Amino acid sequence: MKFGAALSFVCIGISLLLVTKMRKGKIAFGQIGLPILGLIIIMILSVNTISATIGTNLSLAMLFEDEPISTINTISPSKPSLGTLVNFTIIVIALMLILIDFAKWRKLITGIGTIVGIISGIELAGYAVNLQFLYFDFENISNAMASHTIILFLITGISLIFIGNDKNNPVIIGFHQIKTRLISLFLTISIIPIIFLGIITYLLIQDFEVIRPFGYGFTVISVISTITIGFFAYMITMQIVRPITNLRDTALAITNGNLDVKAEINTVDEVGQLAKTFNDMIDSIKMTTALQLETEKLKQVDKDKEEFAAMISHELKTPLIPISGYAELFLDGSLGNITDLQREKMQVMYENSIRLTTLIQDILDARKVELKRLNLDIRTESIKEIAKRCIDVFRPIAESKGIRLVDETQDIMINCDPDRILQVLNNVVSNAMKFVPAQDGTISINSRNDEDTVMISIKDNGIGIPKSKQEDLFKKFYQVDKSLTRKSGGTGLGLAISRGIIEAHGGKIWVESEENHGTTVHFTIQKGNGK
Amino acid sequence: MKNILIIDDNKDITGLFKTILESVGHKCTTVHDGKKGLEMLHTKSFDLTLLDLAMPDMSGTDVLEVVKKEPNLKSSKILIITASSPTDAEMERIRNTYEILDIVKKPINKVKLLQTIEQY
Repeated sequence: MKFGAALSFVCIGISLLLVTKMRKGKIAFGQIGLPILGLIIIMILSVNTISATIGTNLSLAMLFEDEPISTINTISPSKPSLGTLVNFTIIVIALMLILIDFAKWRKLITGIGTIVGIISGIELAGYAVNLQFLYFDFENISNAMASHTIILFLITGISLIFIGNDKNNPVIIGFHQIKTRLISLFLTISIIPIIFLGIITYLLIQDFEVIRPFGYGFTVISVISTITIGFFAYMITMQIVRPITNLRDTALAITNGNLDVKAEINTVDEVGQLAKTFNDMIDSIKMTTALQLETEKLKQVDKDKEEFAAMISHELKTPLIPISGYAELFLDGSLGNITDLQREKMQVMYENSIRLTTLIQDILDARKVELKRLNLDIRTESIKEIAKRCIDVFRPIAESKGIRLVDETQDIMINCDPDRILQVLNNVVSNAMKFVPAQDGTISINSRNDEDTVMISIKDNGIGIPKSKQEDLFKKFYQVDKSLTRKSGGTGLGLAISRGIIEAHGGKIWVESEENHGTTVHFTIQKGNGK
Repeated sequence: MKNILIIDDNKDITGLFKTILESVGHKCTTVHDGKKGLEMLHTKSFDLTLLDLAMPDMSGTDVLEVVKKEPNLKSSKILIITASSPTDAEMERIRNTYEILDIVKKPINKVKLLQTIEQY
């Protein structure tokens, strides 16, 4: 019997050592700690079971001397006693706890553990009373020891039920620190009565009579330890459950749209860290929400501006249509004959209305270019067709000024918004018209068929642009020579818009020029697939 | 020569379009709101309808909506002429939702108007 008690002490010692190491974080709980701890629990239980069986034999021998035979028969080792059964049950449960998938069986196992624990706890009290008032019984003591071990499972079980109540709760994942703390605490608390019981067992083996005064002590200690364990279990459970409940309530409040809540941080473990992260998250959500509101506001402002621009565009353009339209009809004789003087003045009206229309359109386009919101209606169109339309527009003015307009483009299909490309051509040609010499000016439109793109070039024999000013040419409101503006008009938006249009098409636009040797504007456009 | 219906709330514009179109021999009827436009479409048949988008009470799209639902009007050939700058998405939506010939943006001059009419 000395061997059994010694083995118990060794196991308890190893457990304590292990728990201490785990507490200090020297042994990782999940990987090594849990299996070793489980193994030791099984060893304690096994030793207890063996002790119970041997102890019963021993008590039989002792009891033969002063007790009636009937008593001996009731605790005969040939029948498996309740204590032995309970001990084996615990071994099986412990094995299940260790080997079976925790998440899936947690509820079932902890449930069984709790029930068995409660029964064992009641039993323990019964045995204690038995020990005190009736007579010594080794088996009862063994059962008491076993029951205490059960309490370990009972408390672990309760805690696991509490923590793992909601299997969808991600909070329970990764609680190494808390699990280690829990298990080590339970084990430490449970071990105290086991040590005490070990001592009693040892003393019993030494001398039957010596142990009798310890009976009171044992009862008191088992009651105290049970209460203590219960208290600690409650405290620890609350320590885990309360912050989690707190977090859950906070999360719920946030879900309901209340962002002014904060999770209480009252622990330094994973729950505390989680609460802190949670609070950070709330702050982040708050900031995001504020930003979103701000963005919404800005979007609304932008939308208002867009609507305003559309409205203004409509309101400004509409009255100009009949003005320029009727002027055009007067000029082409559709409305009858007019005198030369009338024609001359009507021409002024017409040109100015067109200029105003173009200006409004340019301002709107410049805005669109700036916002990169150019509406492109991409089709496949021949560059020759677009060039022809451009030349048709300028022919009357060119003829009146004695400027030659030459179309040297090839019939190549390009993928583009034809109206926008025409706008680019018009802008460039209208610029050229201002700077070529009257009576001797030539403006030609060329095309070069490259692999994937077409390069379109508008060449003039005008005054040219100094190198230093070529880069600024595509900037908004840029005029090479400010004094020319008053003479020849223009807003300086044309080339900026043209660049925007070409870039929106994925092409490039640039200028080649030398002072007094003319200017050539080149741009590239993706070739069409002829669809 | 075509029999053309012009629906536009701006009388100056309908007047101009009418003058231009009639100068080359087209026959024009002008109305100044969507409701009257629909009445005209019901009572007479036109070769082509020029429809403005931005009109008070009943807009161009409202007219298109009715035309789409009425079987006798479904065959109407409608050309949108608008002075507002519809967004890409809006133009795409109108093109996809209704059976229209095209969307032409104002300003539109004599040459462009006649060329456009000639196409259909």
